[in-house]
Amino acid sequence: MPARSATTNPLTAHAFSDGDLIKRILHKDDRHAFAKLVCRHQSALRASLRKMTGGQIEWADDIAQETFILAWKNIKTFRFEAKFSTWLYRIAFNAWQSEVRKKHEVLWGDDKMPELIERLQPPVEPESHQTGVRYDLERAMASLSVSERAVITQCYYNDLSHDEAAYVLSMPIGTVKTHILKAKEKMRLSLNDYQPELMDHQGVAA
Amino acid sequence: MTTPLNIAQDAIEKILKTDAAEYQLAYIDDAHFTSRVMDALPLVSTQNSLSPKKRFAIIVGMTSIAALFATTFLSSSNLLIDACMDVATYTITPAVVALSTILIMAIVVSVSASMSNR
Repeated sequence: MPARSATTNPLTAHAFSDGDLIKRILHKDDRHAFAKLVCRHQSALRASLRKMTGGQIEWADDIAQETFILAWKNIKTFRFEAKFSTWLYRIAFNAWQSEVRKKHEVLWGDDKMPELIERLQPPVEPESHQTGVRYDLERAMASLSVSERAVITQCYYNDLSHDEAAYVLSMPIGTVKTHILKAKEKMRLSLNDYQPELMDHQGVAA
Repeated sequence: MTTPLNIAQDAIEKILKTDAAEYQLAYIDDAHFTSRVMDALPLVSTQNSLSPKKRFAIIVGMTSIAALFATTFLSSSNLLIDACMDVATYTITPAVVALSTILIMAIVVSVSASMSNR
């Protein structure tokens, strides 16, 4: 994924928890506290959206901005039942889904969605620092349906539990598990097509 | 039992986890993203908007007050029945006007409350 540096997050150690900052926003309408939340979560959210949009940085950043604005407007509805980051992912997923609908004027679940999404994406080209495995993985991800890709992104890249992914994607937990199995099977086939020796190597190593 | 399919699935799991671990360690530089978001935030305070419970209380309260005024000043003990009978016979009476006003007020306030809630 381009434009991501391998430095550590400077906001890993913070004095205030997300909950403290949200309480300040709710009680004192503290915009500075919200700015801290944005700064703290922007990297993870933008990265997640870049994954969802197939690496379209500008589009992903626009959705990320829209997500934070929606979070500010609806902060009163945050019930502290989920983590703030999980709540953000849910808003972001809905915003992304709505953007996709707007762009293609098709309904969610339409069979043509994966093809349309793929057509929207620029071709993924391997960069000099990018390994063949990562390139093949990106290609394999592109072969997934929208919901399969969303589930893989939430469960692996955003490190959410199946329960949390079900909450973010507004789908039953059984559907999340089914999508993961289907996605992994499709990826196995895609990776075999692109680079059979990779699967042999990994398989033997495992 | 270890089958070739299981081994391949384990390999996918391993590749995904390895890639995800690298992905989670990486950090996207803010590069004025936060300031762009803060500039784009609506100026209207989130504190000024009424909660749904308060909105509901206002709608019910206003409708009740309007109904009370109507029944008090119309000197009729059966405002609703009178109004319905008059509507059925196409007669415009104070009772019909009062009933229509109450209904229109309730609809307008409900619609405006639901629109401002979006």
